Amino acid sequence: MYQLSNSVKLRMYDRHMILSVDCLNMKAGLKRQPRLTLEDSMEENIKKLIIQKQFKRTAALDPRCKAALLILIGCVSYFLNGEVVSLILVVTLALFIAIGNGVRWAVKMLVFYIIVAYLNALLRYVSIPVLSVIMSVFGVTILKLVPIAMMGIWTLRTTHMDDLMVSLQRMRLPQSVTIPLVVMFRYIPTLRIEYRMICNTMDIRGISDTFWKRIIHPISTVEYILVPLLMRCLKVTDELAASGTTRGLELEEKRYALNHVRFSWPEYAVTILGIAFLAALLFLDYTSIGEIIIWRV
Amino acid sequence: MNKKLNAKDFILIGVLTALMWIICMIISTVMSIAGPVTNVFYPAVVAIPNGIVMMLLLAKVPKKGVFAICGTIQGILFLLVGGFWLIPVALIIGGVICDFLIMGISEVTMKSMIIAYTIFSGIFAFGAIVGPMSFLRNAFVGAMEKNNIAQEYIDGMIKITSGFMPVVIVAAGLLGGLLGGYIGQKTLKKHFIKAGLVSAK
Repeated sequence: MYQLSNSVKLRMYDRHMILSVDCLNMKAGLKRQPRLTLEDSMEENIKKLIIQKQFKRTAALDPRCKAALLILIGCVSYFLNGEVVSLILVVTLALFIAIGNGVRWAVKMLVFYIIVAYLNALLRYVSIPVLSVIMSVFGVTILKLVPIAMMGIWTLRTTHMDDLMVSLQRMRLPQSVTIPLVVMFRYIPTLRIEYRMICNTMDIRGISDTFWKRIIHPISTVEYILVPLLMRCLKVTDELAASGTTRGLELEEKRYALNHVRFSWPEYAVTILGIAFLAALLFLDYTSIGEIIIWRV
Repeated sequence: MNKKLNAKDFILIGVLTALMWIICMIISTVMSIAGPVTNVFYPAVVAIPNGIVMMLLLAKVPKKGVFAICGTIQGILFLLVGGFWLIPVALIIGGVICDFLIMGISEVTMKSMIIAYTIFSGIFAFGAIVGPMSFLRNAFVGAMEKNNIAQEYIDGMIKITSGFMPVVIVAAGLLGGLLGGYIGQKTLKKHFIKAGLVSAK
C-alpha cells in the first residue's frame, strides 16, 4: 500500500480528476485483480489523465515565467502614454496568447480594445459637464487594464494549480504563502458562481437585488450578500481542507511533478525578450512615435 | 490549544482573502472612476465591508500570523494586477506590525482585533494614496495629462492631496477601519456566534 499512498501524495489533483480515478479503481477492484497490478494500473491511469490535458507552446511555459511577465506588463502598462505604443503592446500580447491555446480570447480582447479606443476618441467631441470627465477617466482606465486583464486571465486559464504549487515551492516560498495563494486562485472563479446562486435564492424569496436597491441600501446589501457568502466560504473551507489533506497538501517534503516544471532556456529567453520589448516600448514612447494619434474619428 | 497554523487555517485565509480582494477591487474601481474626491477616500470605504470578513477570519483563526499572511497575499495580487509597488510594501509591513505588536502581546480578544484592523487599514490608506501621490506627483500628473484625462480631474487630484489632506486621508482610513471592525463584530454576534460557527471572547 505504501507505493500507492506515495503516488497519490505526490501531487494535489484538484481537477475533479480524482473522482474518475476512484471510479476506475473501484471497477478494477471488483474484478479481484492482484493488489500489486491494481496499484500499478491506478498509477498509470493517474499519469495518463494528467498528461492527457497538456497545453502547448507558450501556454506550457513555467508559471513563474508567466507571473514575471504579468508583473512587468503591469508596471509598464500604466506608464505608456502613446497610442501607437499601447496598440503595439496589445497586439504583441494578443499574438503571444494566440500561440498558446488562446486564439479566441486574444481576438476578443483585441476587438474590445479597438472599440473602446474609438469610443474614447469620440468622447472628445462630446462635452457634458460632469459625465464627460467621468467617462474619459473610465475609458483610459479600461484601456490601461486591457493588457493586464488579457494576460492575467489567460495565465489563470492555462496554469494548472498543481504546477503553480510545485513551482512556488521550488522558489522556496513557505507553505504559509503557497497554500493560501493557490487556494485563492482556485476560489476566485467560484465566487462568481456563489454570488449568482445567492442572487437566485433572493429572487425566489422575493428580495430581488437590483442595481438601484444596492445603491440605496448599502448596509442591507452587505448583510444580504456578504453574510451568506461568508457562510458558504466556511463550508467550502471545510470541504477543501478535507480533500486537500487527504491528497497530501500539508506535506513539507519536496514534491515531484509529472509535468515538466522547470525554469530552463525557453523561460529565460521569453523573460529576457519580454524585458527588452517592454524597455523598447518605453523608449519609443519618449520619441516622436509616441505622439502619433491614430484613434481619430 | 494549538497555536500553530495548519493547512485548514491556510485554506480559510486563502478563501477569505480572495473575497476581500474582490470587494476591494470592485469598490476601488467604482470610486476612482467617480471622481478625485471619492478616489482619495477609497481605502476608508473598502475597510468597512472588509471589516466583516476580517473579523470573521480573526475570530475563526485566533493565531499569530494571520494578518501577515493576509497582507502578503493581497500584496502579491496587487502586484500581479499592476498596482504601484508601495501598496504591497505597505500591506506587508502593516500586516507584520499588526501581528507582532498587537496580537503578539496578549490573547486575541474582540478589542485587540478592532485595534489591529484599524491600524492595518490606516497603513493601507497611506500606502495606497498618500505615498504614491506625494513621492511621484509629477510622474503621475504627466501620465494623466498625456492620456487625455480631463484637466478638471487632474486639478482636483492635485488639490485634494496637497496640504493637510494626507493626514485627513490616513485619519479617514483609520476611521473606516474602526467602523468596519465595529460593524463586523456586530455582524459576527448577530449571525455567526448565534449559529455556533465561531466562538469569540
